[in-house]
Amino acid sequence: MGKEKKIVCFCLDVTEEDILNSIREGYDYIETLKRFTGACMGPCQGKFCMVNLVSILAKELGKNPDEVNVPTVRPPVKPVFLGALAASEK
Amino acid sequence: MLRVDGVPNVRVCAEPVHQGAIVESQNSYPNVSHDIYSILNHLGFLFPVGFQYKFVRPRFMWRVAEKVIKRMAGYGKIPDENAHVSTRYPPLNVLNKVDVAVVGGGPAGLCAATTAARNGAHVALFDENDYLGGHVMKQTAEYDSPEYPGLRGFEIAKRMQEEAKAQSNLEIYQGTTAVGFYEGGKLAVNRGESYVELTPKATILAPGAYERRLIFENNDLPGIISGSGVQTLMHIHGIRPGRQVVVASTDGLGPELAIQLAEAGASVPCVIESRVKRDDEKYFAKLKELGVPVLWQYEIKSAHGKAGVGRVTVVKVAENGDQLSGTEKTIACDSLCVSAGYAPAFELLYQIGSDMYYDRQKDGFFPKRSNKMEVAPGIFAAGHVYGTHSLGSILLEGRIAGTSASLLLGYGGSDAETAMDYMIDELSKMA
Repeated sequence: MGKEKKIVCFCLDVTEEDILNSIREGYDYIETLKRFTGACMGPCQGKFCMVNLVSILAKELGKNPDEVNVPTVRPPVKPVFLGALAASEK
Repeated sequence: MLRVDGVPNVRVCAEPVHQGAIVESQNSYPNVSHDIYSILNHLGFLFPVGFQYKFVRPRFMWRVAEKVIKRMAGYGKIPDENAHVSTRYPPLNVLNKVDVAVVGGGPAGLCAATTAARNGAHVALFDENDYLGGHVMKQTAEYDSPEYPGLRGFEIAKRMQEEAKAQSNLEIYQGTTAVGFYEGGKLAVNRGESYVELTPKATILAPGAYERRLIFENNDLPGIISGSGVQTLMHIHGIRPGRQVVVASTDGLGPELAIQLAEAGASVPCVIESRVKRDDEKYFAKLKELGVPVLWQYEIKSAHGKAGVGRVTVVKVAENGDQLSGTEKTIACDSLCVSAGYAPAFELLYQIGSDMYYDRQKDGFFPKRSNKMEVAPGIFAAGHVYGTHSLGSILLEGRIAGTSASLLLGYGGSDAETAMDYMIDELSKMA
């Protein structure tokens, strides 16, 4: 309490503290950490936060970033209107 | 994200204003300046991340809780029935006969596309912006590039654009994003409300890089802008980002940004640079002349302000990266420009399954490539996505990628092969 927010995921307002708490709770694998906190899952799909998420996890676990690796990146990499997808089926 | 003309979740930072646009806020009640939800900023400790998975009991209450959470934190109301995305471009025409698809209209992409087109291939170039030339378009400084001697960044971008547009077999699609790479070599592209999947014979990826963000207290206050964002505002749109702009950088770009801001008429109270002082810095003398002090080995500790940033607290950092308490200084400003380096835009490379490696020095994941810029069968990449910074190398990578794609499809002949050997040799000399 009283601490000011340090935002990591700007889409979903996930803070550094949120991420550290989640890792200590046991979400210490990049894929589960991503799903539990929501970081990398907002409209930007990790463009702002992925690097920082990986480095926070690596630092906390005392590993190199390549041992942590990046989470799977699926298409679409940018929000696409459902209407656009539906229209392409015609 | 705001609701624009009845369409929710519009990223307004990337959406040009237009006459008569109706812009509404999301997730505030009754409105942004009197938002009763802002109480959550102080009660946040009651709602840790993931609380909704654990603490909503009994189970049936989840349905109620879900509605409340969505109202307060969800993705806005569904669009109005007749809402349409504002489009500045006509719908995409299905592109037949594409030999080579090029993703990204920055220097590497433009160079690759022009090269492939000159060799005779049918090329389609996609770029999400309204301008071509990528980051070079935002530069006012001269580059000492052998191909474009004595030209400033934006002049080079314009020259490259003219060269590309002179090719009749090169089609340029602006405002168009390549959003995914699917099985069977399908590349999905999206422009506004149109979405097309095409199967090019070869693909060149030149997506560039994203700016990294720094983590400090209140780093989401309005008025905190990235270095490249500041350049976009000033050099593309002609907008001064603030009156009193503190510049903070961890990648050495701070002095250059400060000079550009000062030249645009902003006052720059100081530059915060986390690196160790270097006297040979190119822009150091100019900064002195402008009267802008540089705080070496300092970084941002926190930003303060209510509706926007009003002052920042900076702190000295030790060699090992620890902040030294007791060295804090507070500086008044109305904007904070943060330049923290780049991370490659590797999403599409990841999706095609190219091998990635971690580079400790550049602190990032990069695609592995052959000396002909091949990252996967029939897929080539060039430019900033490899962490390449110098314009000379970026252009050369683009040219090699364009030549490789041409040769793969049987264009260019022995001339292209000779050129290829020469270029590979040149690039290795630059490294």
